Amino acid sequence: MTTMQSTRVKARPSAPSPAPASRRRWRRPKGLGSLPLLLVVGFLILVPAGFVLLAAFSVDIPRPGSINFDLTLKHLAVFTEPGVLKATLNSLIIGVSATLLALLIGGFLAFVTARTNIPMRGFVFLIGLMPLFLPSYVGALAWSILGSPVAGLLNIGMRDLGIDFTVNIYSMGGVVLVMGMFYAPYAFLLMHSSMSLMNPDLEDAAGVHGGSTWQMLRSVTFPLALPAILGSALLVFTHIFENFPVSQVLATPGQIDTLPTFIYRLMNASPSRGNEAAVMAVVLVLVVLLVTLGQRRILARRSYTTVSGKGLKARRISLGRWRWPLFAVALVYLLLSIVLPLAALVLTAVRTSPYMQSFNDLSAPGAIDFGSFGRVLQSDLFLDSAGNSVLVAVVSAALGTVLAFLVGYTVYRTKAKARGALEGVSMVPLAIPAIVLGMGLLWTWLVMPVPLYGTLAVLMIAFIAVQMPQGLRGIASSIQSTERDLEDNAVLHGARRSRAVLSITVPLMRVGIASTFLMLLMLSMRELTVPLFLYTSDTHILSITIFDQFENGGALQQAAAMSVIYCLIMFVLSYLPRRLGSGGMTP
Amino acid sequence: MQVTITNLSLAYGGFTAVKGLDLTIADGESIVLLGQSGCGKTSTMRCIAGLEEPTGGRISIGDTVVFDHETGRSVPSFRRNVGMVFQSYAVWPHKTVLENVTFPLRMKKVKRGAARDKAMEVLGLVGLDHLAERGASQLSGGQMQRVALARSMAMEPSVLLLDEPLSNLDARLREDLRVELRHIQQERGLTSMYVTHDQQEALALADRIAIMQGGRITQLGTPEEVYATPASASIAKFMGVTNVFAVGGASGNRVTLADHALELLTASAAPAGAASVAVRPEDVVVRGEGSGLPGTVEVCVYQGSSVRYQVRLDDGPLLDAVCPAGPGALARGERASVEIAPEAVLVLPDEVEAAPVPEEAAA
Repeated sequence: MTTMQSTRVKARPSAPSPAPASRRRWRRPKGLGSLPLLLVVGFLILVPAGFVLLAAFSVDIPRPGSINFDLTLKHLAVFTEPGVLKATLNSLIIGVSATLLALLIGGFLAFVTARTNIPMRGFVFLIGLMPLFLPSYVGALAWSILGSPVAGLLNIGMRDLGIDFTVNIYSMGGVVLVMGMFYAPYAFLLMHSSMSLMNPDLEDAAGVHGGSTWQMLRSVTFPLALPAILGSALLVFTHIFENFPVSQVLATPGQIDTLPTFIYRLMNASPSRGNEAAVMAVVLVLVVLLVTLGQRRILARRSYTTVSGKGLKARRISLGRWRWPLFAVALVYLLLSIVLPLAALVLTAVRTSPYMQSFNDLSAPGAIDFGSFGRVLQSDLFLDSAGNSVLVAVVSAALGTVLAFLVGYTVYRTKAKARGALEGVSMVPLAIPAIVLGMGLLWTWLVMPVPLYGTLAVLMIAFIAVQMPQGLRGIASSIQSTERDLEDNAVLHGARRSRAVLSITVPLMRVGIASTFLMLLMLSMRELTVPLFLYTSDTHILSITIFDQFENGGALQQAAAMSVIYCLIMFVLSYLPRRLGSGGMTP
Repeated sequence: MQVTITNLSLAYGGFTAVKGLDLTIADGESIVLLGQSGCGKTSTMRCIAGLEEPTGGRISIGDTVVFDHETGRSVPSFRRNVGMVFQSYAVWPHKTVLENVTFPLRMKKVKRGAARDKAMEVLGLVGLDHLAERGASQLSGGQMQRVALARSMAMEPSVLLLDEPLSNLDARLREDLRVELRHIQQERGLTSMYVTHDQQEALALADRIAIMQGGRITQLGTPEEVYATPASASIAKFMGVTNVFAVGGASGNRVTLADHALELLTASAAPAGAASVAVRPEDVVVRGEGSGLPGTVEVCVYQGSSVRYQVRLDDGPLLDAVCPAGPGALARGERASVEIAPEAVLVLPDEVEAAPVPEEAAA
């Protein structure tokens, strides 16, 4: 394929040009186009971030026609508010404990699938991934159906069986459980690759030199995996710390505040207390920024995963009689993270009566009606939101991929002066929690003289900005693994640089580009927090609709049915990139 | 300690890596397993270390049977007291040099202080005592190789296994370390097994060389024996003999090549079943003029102390020759006269016959 393409270019040299000109062309592009690119990316990302910062320290929030530059520190008074300390503390406790839980689950699954002879290894690997298909807020909604103290399905079931025990998911423990379970796949993926890439000689050497299996694990295997464990711990922590939807669904009913829910309440108070929200947002950013920097430092340290010259055959440890018990542990995770939540959603979707005293009620005639899926599929609300979702996701993923390619090409293939700044700005959203970026984007597009607020376009722009880091990472790994000589060769044989990019580099990167597109598509489909500030009643998208219906409690059945359909869509979208090869499932 | 391997077999799925191998390493002896990649030499070594489970046979180290297929006995790797230097060194990157070397001692429950002293002594032996506190990931390839060697020697292994330990180093360093390795091995009287595909390394390091082909040992002898009298044409090729030709016919002390009208004299009558003749390039004498075989120089490569020629014989094949450099060297295109002494002509079977198994012999 590769040779075919380069010969095609060789066979069709462009019109003969004078020698000096072609010599000039052969030079690596200077990338003068990098300045407009920097302006676009900077406008998309830095302006919203700047508005949040401005709002925190100015007299009034930005409004159309009046951006207020009178600086003040009076909003810092929000720190004296009674709930602030508690919310911060809660966020930290939830962040740390849920991270530990996620590491425990992810680390366990990574170890048994990468390094042991656990039965059905492929299936256990899938167990580790599956919760990625379920957006965390759908998981939280499902768990609130399962574990609410009064009407939770688990509690009904236990009452039926005469067990005197009540699960209360609206508690710190509940939030930690759900967050830990749904962020475990990130830890799993990072640790799995680290453990399976380990040079088996390093472990064999421990065995030969007198170390038993346990001593080998303790003094070689785990220390070698430590950078990956720490790196994933910090990554998972930032995600959990800034997570809004799970806290909103599970912690708020239990009167537990976290930083993101606190900010959301300040924003939605009437009159809105945007300035104070912005102050809290800055605090949130500072914490996430610190942790992100820490993570970068750890990952930048020399990684120990060395690839040897010989074929890698990581040693598998025989679990002996622990094989099946450990497999059962993996199944418990599958049950709690996927099976029970999906079952709860399906059951809620098909139940005709919203009230249920006992599971015996279901055996009554007419108690179950699968028609609800059909009705939901035909409802205007679903069709509108789904249509909007698909439109927004496809457009923003396509534009996002193009922008990421332009940025990626400029950063990794040219000597443009701005390429360091370009990469830096593109990665900024990683350090800004979605809820903060959502506020910033709201103010930005309210203030802009172009009438975009209240249209789908503003959602698209928001998604492109938020997902810039993921897009750039996907493209970057693909660009770096494509040999630049192939493109230069086309230029040497007379193609214009743009022509060489389009006919050599882009086709060579088609797998990477396609999987980046699909990843952005999936991220756009599941994003909830950012559009929460930007949607209007005309621009519902699927994630918002589901969340709204649950929050308002009115249409539980519809919302559950929609969630199930939504999960199916997410599953297909997540499955495609894996099929395409180099899928980027990492957030 | 003496290592005895009896009828060792190893198969993965359908592929047999080692087929009924017998070998005894005497106490203090250095054996080199020499063969191409995939011939089963590394597999044999990993069986001794206990990193692979053989599918048949018996291995004993000293008086201890560490593996016996008959009784199902298999001593785990960490109880065999076998040292091993890996091709990738396998120096733990998260430990310091000293921690790497004390590991086997700590595993033997040697007290911390005593372990440290012992480790420093061994590090001194390989010339790395000044780097003891250095992190292992900051070392160069040659240094890592020394750490790996020190780590294995510190445990005073019953047998030291070395799996192509020099193959990742550059040529110059490789030669230095080869001499150093041989020195340490002889001085300490280490029983060792060394695996390599480089015949120069094998000649330098071995008390005996075992040539491995297709999972079997096809020739076992001192370096001098293996070099002077390879057992087959394929072994000769592997030992660097580039002039190997098929034999058409033989009568008395004369052999005729199959593909060329060329007759060569041999020192003794050609044995029955001889299929090839082999002539070492160093034994081919090339002169400007003389009564030898006439030919033309096609390629001439100056190598410092010697000159390598390729000479096309007028009625025969292309011959490789290595001659001492000096006055009278020939240039490309010049006529040449080639002489080959009868003693230099090795008449060999193509391959070594499979060792006859009793049942087959009876049939």
